[in-house]
Amino acid sequence: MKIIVCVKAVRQELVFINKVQQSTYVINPYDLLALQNAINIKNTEACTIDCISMGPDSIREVLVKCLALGSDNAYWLNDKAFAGADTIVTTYVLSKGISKIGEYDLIICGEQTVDGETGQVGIGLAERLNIPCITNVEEIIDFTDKYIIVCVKYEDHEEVLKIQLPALVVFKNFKLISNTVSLLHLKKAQRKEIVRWSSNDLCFEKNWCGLAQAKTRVVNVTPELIVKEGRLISGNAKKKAVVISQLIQGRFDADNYG
Amino acid sequence: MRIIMDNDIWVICDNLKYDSDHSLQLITKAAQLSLKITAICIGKLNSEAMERLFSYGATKVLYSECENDNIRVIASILKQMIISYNPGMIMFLSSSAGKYLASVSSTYFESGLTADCIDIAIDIDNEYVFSRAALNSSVIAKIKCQNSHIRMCTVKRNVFSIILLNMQRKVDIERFEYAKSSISDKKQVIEKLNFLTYNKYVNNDNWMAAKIVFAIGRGVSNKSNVDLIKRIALKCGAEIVGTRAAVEENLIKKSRQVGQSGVNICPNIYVGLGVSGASQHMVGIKNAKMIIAINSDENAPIFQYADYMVVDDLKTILTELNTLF
Repeated sequence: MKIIVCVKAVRQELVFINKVQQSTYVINPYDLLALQNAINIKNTEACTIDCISMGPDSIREVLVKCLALGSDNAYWLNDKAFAGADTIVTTYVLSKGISKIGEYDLIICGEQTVDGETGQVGIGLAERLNIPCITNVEEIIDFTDKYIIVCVKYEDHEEVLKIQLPALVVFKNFKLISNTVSLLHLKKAQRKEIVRWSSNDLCFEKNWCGLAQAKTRVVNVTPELIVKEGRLISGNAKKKAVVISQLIQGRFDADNYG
Repeated sequence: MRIIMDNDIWVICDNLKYDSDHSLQLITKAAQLSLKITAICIGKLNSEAMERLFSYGATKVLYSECENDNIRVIASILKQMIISYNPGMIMFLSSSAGKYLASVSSTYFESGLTADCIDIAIDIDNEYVFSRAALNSSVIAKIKCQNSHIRMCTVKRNVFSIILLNMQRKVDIERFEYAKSSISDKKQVIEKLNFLTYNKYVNNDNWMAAKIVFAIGRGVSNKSNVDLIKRIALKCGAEIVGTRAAVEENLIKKSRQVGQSGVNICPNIYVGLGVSGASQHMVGIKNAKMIIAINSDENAPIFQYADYMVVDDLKTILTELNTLF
């Protein structure tokens, strides 16, 4: 069985604040859960895991981490032309990378990234590869090389689905802390080759080149959230708490305060 | 002067309940942007629900009968509809089903898609401008589509309000016949083995309408503070919500997440407890009438948006508050 896991590197401070971490980038927590589920399969069935990630020069450490956690190969889609990619460009580039990897049985994605938060890439990727896509996956219950059985959870019901492979599943949850990686594994991973492909390697159709093909464009950013001239509540903790309680109860007398 | 488009806007209605609040919110907004609003209903026949859409701004309903609620079949039918009619802009609900349909359609038609918009406007060049929270900063990004014929967006629930028209619009329901041959092959691939409905989650979303909410941010930092907040909330009739960071820290459950990737609310009083104020969270409460922020960091962005600011240790303030109710 061959599993491909799509991984995005996200800035560390988006995931951990006030925690000491040495790295600039970490695996997007939603993708970390996807990878963890692939590793669980590998623990019981002979299979290979390939991680694939599109990202700039600085995300190498994340791919090394994927290898150290148990991925067999790591593919890095890296080209300046990919900068500013929207979901359309991202799914296009990933689909080309996956096609170049070749045969696969299962693709696993996380629901969304903590930076973009669009939640569109997994579904769009399946559409491009023309394979079935199951979203909201909670758990992989069973698998063979012909099909997988998954539990899918919605707000009000759950379903158990059997899907013929190849297919793409999107996990709905995230995982913050990866299993600890031994120093030995990390050292081994550092020596492993990471396959790096640019747009030239990926056999793009003519005219397809990153930003020029993006279907959305940010025209401007505005601090549209209303900035207010807030009133600072001063005094000791007790006084502050009294004002807060008055505000909540609608009996704060603004004119006679302070 | 408000610019109104004369090209067609499609609103893809909830396939299980065409006239859900969420669908009506999108139809109402679409009616402010264009003169031609087509509501797309793919599912079981429900004339009453379809006719109701005309009272909120729909000028046409395009209906296709689909007995099962298989989202992949619905997506195939929708593709055929888009090919036949070529709409200018499509609005999807940002439910699981809506996101699926949006993603499939935008990929298939290579069209620009803005996920989870909080506003849609038309600029002086007669182009749609979609707003959403920018990546982890306290600003809103305004996004336009390019290189695409169809513009697409998903819109969260409760971003727009519902307005009932005071005039009766002509009911115009067109039935769309799709080519069944093109969708039959995909159905075999996925088989439903089991189906379980649980009552405990069934639409218990009254909390969204709460007048007072306490928002838990990462600064709450531990369960004992959460317990304290729950106790105070119970005493003053407040509901508890949280930021994405708080969900990730396991301080509050995912269903109570407010903001870009959670729900939107508009309480009378919002109290941010250890909430830093990232735009992804703040867009979810931008209509709150009063914002009270408590944070130990005087530089926390939330203070820019707060009506009342309290810079202090959270635990100390909570302990004091607990004695006052």
